[in-house]
Amino acid sequence: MPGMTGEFREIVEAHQSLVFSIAYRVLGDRGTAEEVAQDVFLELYRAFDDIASDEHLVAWLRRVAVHRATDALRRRPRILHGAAEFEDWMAKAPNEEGSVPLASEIERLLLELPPAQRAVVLLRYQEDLPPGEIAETLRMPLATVKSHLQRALKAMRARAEDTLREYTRHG
Amino acid sequence: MDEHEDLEHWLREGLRPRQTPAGFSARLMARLPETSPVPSSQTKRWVPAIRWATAVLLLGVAGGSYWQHQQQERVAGERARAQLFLALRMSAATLNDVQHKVLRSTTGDSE
Repeated sequence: MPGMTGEFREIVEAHQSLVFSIAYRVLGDRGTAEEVAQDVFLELYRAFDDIASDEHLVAWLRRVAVHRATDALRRRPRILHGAAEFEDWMAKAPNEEGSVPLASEIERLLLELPPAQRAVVLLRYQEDLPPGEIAETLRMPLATVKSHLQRALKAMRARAEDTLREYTRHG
Repeated sequence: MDEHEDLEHWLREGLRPRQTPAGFSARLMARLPETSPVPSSQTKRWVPAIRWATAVLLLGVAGGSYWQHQQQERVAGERARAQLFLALRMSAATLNDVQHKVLRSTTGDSE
């Protein structure tokens, strides 16, 4: 097993952002998201021999990241609606394009959704997966995925209508 | 672009992957030795073969015991049959002796 640590490090570096982003956006808490992301990679390390291909690896990471983050959310329900730490972080950490307000607004809206809807929205718009692949990843019926997606978009639209109209004008 | 497309567009824009905290992979790699690896798939591949071999071995032992039991019963049966034949032969010989004696005494009386 120690002989594979070099290969494993490359995998971590290639996919850490994917895993961390899912955990962070499900949890809304940077510290817990890092713990969850680390646990996901440790689980991968133990199951490494079972990974058959790159596609399998990415699908595995997405699925396990969503499940472990959702489990952590159940253990810590107080972070469900966004902790003060999250708000501070969002204010201090612009992304590469400097679009803090949009990312901040979207992530705030995401945290107001129920966890299952949040996971579906993340896989749809962060990971750009079609509903069929989301159903496979989350092992959820396709009709449920579509229903979560519709409800999530409706809720987000209702909550952010004015804000997003502003982005449309300036975007 | 309608309202629905706007929202989807902004979701894609707003949900670009986040950077991990600095030192993430170093902290992770430092934790690896603590993790005890589960049996690899190579080991797991042997599990069905080992199960089959165990099943075959158990069947062999059970079959052998059954055969041995049958053999013991057969030997015991043969021994009992031999004893029965011996007993019958002895009875026949005794009867013959008795018959001879009876005949002899009957013949002696008539003379």
